Amino acid sequence: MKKRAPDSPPAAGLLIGWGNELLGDDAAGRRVAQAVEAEGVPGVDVIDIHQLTPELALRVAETHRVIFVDACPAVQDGAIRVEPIYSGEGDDQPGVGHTGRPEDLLAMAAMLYDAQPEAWLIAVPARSFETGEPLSDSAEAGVRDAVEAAKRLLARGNTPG
Amino acid sequence: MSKTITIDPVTRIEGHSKITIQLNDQGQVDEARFHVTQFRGFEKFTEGRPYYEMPAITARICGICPISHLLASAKACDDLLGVRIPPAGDRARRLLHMGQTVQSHALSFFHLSAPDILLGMDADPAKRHVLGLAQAHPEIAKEGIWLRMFGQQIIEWLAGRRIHPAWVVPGGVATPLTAEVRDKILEGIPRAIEITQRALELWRGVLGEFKDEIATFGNFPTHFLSLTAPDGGLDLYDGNLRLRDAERGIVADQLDPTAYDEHIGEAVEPWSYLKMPFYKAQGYPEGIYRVGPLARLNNADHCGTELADKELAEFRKLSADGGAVLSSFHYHYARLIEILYCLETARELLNHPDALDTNVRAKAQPSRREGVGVAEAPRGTLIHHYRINESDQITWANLIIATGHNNMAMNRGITQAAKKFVHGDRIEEGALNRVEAVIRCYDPCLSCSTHALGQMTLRLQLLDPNGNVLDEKARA
Repeated sequence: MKKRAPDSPPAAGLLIGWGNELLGDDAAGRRVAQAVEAEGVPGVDVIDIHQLTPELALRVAETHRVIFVDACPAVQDGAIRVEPIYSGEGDDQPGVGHTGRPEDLLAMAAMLYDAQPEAWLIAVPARSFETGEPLSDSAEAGVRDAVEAAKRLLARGNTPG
Repeated sequence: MSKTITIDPVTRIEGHSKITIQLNDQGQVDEARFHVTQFRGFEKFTEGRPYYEMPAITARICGICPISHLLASAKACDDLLGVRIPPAGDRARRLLHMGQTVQSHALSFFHLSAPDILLGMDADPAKRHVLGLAQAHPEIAKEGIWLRMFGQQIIEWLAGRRIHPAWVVPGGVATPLTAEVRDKILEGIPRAIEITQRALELWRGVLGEFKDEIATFGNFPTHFLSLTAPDGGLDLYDGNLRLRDAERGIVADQLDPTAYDEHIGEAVEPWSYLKMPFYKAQGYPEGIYRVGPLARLNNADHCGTELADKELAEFRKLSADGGAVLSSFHYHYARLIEILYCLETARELLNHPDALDTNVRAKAQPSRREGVGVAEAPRGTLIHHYRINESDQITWANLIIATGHNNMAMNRGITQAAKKFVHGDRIEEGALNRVEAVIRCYDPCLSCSTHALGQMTLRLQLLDPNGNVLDEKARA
């Protein structure tokens, strides 16, 4: 699957992986996006991006199902986390700025474009955010699991994991 | 007993930072400091890499202004090669830079600063943010999204990717402008100009409500540094360095940017990872200067485009005595004028008779072992300086980022604002927001931040002289 051309109609599904590729495991979300894009899932657009910024709300609003993928500090078992997420409308402290949160984009999609896509978050456990390119072994494993989880979500819809 | 208040991290800026406010024995603000708490290791990280990888590597430092790093890096590589860029390649790079500046300034104005400006500095912090803006002013929020997206699309249409494109290469650009892309950009420019002009009207309409902020948000004399064109006009891509003083007198002009280190020193303070650049002729810290939109408009003799020059004439009236516009609050104003300039300049570049010329890249091998590239990033002068060995590998790199140039001014600015708005040993929400808002005027991009889920919080600490926490507030 190729990333859609800027002017073509939006796809039914959207995957957004974000992070800084020069900061170790922070790149995990982008690696998932790149892998899903390379494998190809019909009807799915992929955005591989440094950080979440407000204009992505429009892309979120144009789709029926959106999957956000990011690195998160590893918890004890090191497993990926897959969970539904919802609009952050009403949250006291949204994060949208230079760096935003998925919930904020969902809120903006709802408030500005009256759109409420189904949304999921896949959190990839990360060990190190230090300057450097390679992912840690555990993050590499998390990326592989996250790619499979994302494909299942995109293909089947409602069942996580 | 003197105390310290800490705002950690500062919100709605890029990267990791905090603010501490030191109170004296009378409970009055003595000094405020803006601390950058994350170490940037990119210069060291690039040692040993081939020079031609530098544009692609350094562009990945930042998700907001990757094109600026790409261009400064490519220019440093051009310097290593000793090449002259073909005119069409030069225009293509400039066009890309216009898109970059539009999207970056749009994000800063419409989504980061508009909540303060339109909802008010004292508005409920639970509402004073981009979602509150979307709720209260949905059309403005949507126009901001459209304008930012348009800037991003210019980048994507030209370079294939909106983030970290590899289109800019040492010697020029990889592929020429096509008629299709030219026409798509031209089609969007009128709407982009309309949105910007509405934002300028909006800005002028609310300006009277911010007299205290204008007076105290970094309102003090400094020098101003930027590139200017050989004729003294505004130039975001190339030119020579100019310094003006607070009276708009020219202190130094047409300085060769590749010799920046003859004029700019970098001091280090133990409480921040961000260096303190200063004008060497005046020493540290007297050699304080500002960069970015405010500095560029103070420095330039003219913008060189019709609508932006009309706005520049209005901007000049902010200084009653013909001197420089000193308040950093007006960075916002300057940003909007620069958006207009970028859109008009993009239209000129696209309408150039040779816009579709296919000669866009000069190819060469390194002819020298040291190269410097300088461009005006959205936030100010960006310097890339490399040394390479006989195997074309980087042996040393120095990057002076725009936010670094403004470091001293940001520190002095928050001190000024804190003295005005912070009283006693408790910090009220409105005061807290104003101190942060001073920093947002500069739209600092400390980039290279990790942003992993759940890590961003705002912490406010009140410390006694021994570092003991007396009071603490946190925003999740």
